[in-house]
Amino acid sequence: MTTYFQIKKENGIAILTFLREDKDANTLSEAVLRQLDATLTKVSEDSTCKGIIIVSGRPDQFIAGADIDEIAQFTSAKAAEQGSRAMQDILQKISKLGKPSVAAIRGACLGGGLELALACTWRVASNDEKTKLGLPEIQLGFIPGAGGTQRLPRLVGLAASLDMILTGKRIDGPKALKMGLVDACVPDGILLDEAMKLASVERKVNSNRKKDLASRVLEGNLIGRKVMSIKARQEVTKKTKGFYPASYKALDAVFSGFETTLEKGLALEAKFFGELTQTKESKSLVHLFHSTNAVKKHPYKDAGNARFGTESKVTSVGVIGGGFMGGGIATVCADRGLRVAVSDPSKDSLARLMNNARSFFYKKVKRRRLKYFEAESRLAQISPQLSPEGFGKLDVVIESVFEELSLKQKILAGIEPSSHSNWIFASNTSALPLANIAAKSAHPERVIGMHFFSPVEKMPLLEVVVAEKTAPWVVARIVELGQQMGKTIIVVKDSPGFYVNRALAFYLAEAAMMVGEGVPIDQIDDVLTGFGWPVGPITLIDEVGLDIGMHVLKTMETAWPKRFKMPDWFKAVADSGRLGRKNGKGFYTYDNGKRGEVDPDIYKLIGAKDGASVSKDEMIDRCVLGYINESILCLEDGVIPTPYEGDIGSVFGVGFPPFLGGPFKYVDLCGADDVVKRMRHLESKLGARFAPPKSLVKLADNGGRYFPDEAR
Amino acid sequence: MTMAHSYVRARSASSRKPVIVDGARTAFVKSFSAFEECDALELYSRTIAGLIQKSSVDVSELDEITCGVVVPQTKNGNVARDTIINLGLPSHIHGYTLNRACTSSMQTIADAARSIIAGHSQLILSGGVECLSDVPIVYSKEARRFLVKLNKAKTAAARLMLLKDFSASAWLPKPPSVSEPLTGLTMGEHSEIMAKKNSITREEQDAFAVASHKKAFLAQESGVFRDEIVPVWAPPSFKACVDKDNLIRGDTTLEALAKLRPAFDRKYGTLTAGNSSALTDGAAACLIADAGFAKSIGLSPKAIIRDVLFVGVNPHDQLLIGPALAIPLLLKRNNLTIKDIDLFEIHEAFAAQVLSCIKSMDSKAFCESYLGDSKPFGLIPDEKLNVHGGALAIGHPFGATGARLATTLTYGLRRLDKTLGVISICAQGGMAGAMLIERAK
Repeated sequence: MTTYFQIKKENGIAILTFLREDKDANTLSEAVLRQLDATLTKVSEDSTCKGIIIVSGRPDQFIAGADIDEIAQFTSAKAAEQGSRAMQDILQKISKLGKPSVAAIRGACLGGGLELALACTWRVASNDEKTKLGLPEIQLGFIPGAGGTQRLPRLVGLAASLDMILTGKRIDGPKALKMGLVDACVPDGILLDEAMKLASVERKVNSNRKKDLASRVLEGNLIGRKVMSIKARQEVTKKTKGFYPASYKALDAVFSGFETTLEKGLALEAKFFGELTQTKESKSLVHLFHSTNAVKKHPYKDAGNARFGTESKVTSVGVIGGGFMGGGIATVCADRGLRVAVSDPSKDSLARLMNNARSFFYKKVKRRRLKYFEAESRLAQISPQLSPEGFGKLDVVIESVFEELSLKQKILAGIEPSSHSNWIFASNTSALPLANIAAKSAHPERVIGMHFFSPVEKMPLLEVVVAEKTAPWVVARIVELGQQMGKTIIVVKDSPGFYVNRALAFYLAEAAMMVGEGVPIDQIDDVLTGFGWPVGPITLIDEVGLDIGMHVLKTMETAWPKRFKMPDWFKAVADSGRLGRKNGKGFYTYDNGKRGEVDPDIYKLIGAKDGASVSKDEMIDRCVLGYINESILCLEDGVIPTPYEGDIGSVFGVGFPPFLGGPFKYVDLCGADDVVKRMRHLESKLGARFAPPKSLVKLADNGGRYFPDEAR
Repeated sequence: MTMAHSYVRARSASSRKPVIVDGARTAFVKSFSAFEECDALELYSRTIAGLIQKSSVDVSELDEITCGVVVPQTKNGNVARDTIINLGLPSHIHGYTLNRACTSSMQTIADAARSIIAGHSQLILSGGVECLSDVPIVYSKEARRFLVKLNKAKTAAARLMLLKDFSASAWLPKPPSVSEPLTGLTMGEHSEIMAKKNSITREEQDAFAVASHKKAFLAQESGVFRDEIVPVWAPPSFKACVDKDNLIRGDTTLEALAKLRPAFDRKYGTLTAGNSSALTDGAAACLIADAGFAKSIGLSPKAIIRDVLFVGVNPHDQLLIGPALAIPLLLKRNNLTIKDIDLFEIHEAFAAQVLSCIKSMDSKAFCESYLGDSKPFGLIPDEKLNVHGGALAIGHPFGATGARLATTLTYGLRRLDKTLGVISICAQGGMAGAMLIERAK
């Protein structure tokens, strides 16, 4: 049997060192917990043992949480509830050990890991950046199931615990000490010494949290707590629009559990946990968790090792074009400790860029995410210049200029002769074929696409676009750079619109087509936000800008003239001086940057027919199945290597509802046969564009799924 | 490639010949104008980042970044090292900050050259900065002692006891002044003494100042300074792109200058704001390299540092006469005469001071008593002197002037197709330095 817990006794204290050598993370599986149970029994029976310390054998991880695969395997709410109860019982054993227990926390202490720590008498955390405490279960669509919703509020109060449980946010050592979550916060080097001191001390007061006036007034009495509960419920509805049941269950577990005994609270928690694991929301979110890991394992992963080793990272970046996009890229680079030079011939553009970067960093100072001098330093690391001199010496140059092929070629040709052999040229084009950009290059193997989404500071996705001639080491290096920039990355193949914009274009075109048929604009937007998109498709066109939208739609039309048609009226609208939000004039009216009503003049301009009646379901199917259809074709064409990239790209790039898991997971959730049926219905009504793709029909015929290993 | 790579570098390409690869500076602006909200760290960081990009140097090859500052702000005592960290440059690059008054960045360049000759370093960014818009305001010694004691006092009683010696007047902050701590006179007053001693008239000084402005204006208009200036977007809003010196006045006339009142000696003085350099903000730096190493990493030098020399003189006599000694000594040491030198860049702190130096070098009496020569060293012809104007017009951020002159001369030799040039700067404390620079072929 694998040993997960090494026991060492020192001065009558048993030190349990937890290390999972069979996995690359310290997770709590059933086997681990069973061994913990046995170990605890042994320790409790040892009369010479005065106390225990639980510590991790990994330098950067205490306990990363429960094993998600095991949770995902529960096929019924009942089974999951029983699993939860079993883990609760083992953790209860720690709290009822009859001798002090200490969690010595260094590195990530998440989910079940934090719940284990909460069951201990004392918690000591190291004060470095690696140490993060949190309950991220909500991000997987369920709630903590091993006492987290019960012990945390009793320790740190309702408000602070809700803040952790509802957001999954991670807290560092000093903050944890301040809120009373840990009892001591010390340098890594003396973590065990401090734990040793506490391991022989019984706890006298439950909480060492300093209560402020608000928490005394609200949390100290039943009426106050009722008020809090109602408020919290409203807040959750506002934030989640009611799409995530786990948030409400979390509130129920915390508030109801707080009014009763710990034992009853735990039972309630386990019940909710069990139910939530079986929801489609949870299955989708767990799927996204898997997908995030899956896309990290792209085939180019180690392709740069021979050239750069495993340690060398990109340290300097050049950005060409100081517009909104370029500015965002530069800001994110500087924020992540990269030196970045920005070249733009316009002094005003660079002034705007520096000013925006300054606002970005100063906002962080205001929120205490950065110290003042750190903000200044990040700003100093953005070096504006009027020409790209010196760019050949940088590690990577990202161009973000106007979408004009000859301009991009000229920029590349200008720097390439002075570049070194590891120099990479990345284009942030959103539609131009990379092969064309690299057509005149002496080193097309060093040309790649980095398709960022706007605003770069906020949007998590990066599409890394690999052209036919792009060298594997270049892909590896750029994916690494993207990770340094904190982006979620999908590696896609060079083809018109790449993946995300291509699927999105079909979705937007379908919505636009409905407008032409006479469906009210706000109705379309409302129905699709009701489906779970963050904004409706027509609003999205306004957000992106009609000029850019036009450019993308045209590219699509050129690439797939038979399948894609831009509505005839679109050009007229774009030519009417409507750029969307950026000039305060689009499909909607804008007042001081705030969206108002649909512009009443727009329908005349479009020449929309009167009174079309399209049912809500049909609106959704036309847009969403249009999107899914194109996603499947991208998979067939090899634009995306696996369905995982499709789901990650859709959720993180354009806001496909996360609780549906992405276009491919959505097919799995509905069943391929159901999707095929719905598409055939649309095909018969609206034409060939809805003919289901061959691979989907085949999947339906075989009763297959895109993710057969995952729970449905 | 591991971290150690940058610390243990092969030195086989070392030729031990110091060269100037490139130079850069910010625009020089009147204090409390465009760079009002900057500090020395910001200005030096922007200059270094600009020079790195301009010279296309691979930063992992750098050994040192050094800086000269004359009125340092307490916040960044070692601006050079702080700049390295502030810019996120590789941490193996080390750096120090020094103060040798107005020769500070001439000294950092000289140090780089010496280090290269010794074979210790191969690639160094040397320069200086002055942000007189942000100077430390100090309290009197009495007030400082009071504060430190108050901090040390443990009990309330002890703190109260301190109050008995409290004097209100001690709390007036002492604004910094450009004066000699050990002669009690300001730089202007010292120059006034020199003007009298060397019979430099007000008219001569004004004419020299007007000429400096005209030459600088011509250079500015014809884009000469564009070679050396890196644009800086000035904080806090970054709205203004500062890429032009703002003290140069092409429309200055003798008549206009004649109207100004003496600044240092109201009654008998000849020095005015018009013929003295103004308080200036700015930074400048040069990339100094070992010639062989530069070649091995693909950098082409623009100039060669042939020699450098510093002198000290009696501060009570003629405080800023140093260049009149430094230039002859430097040239003689290299078996050169004024004829051999194509361009001179003599720092213009005050018109009276430059004119005193020029006159002294051509004076038999001076050369006899100071250099022990039997005949005068010679007269530097006007057409070789400060051909693009000097500090009277361009400005004088103390710490940056040396690197500015080295940069201007380096580009000047190339632009005018000349071979040899000399820069010389006078400094507080009765010092001066001179450097011999040859255009690289």
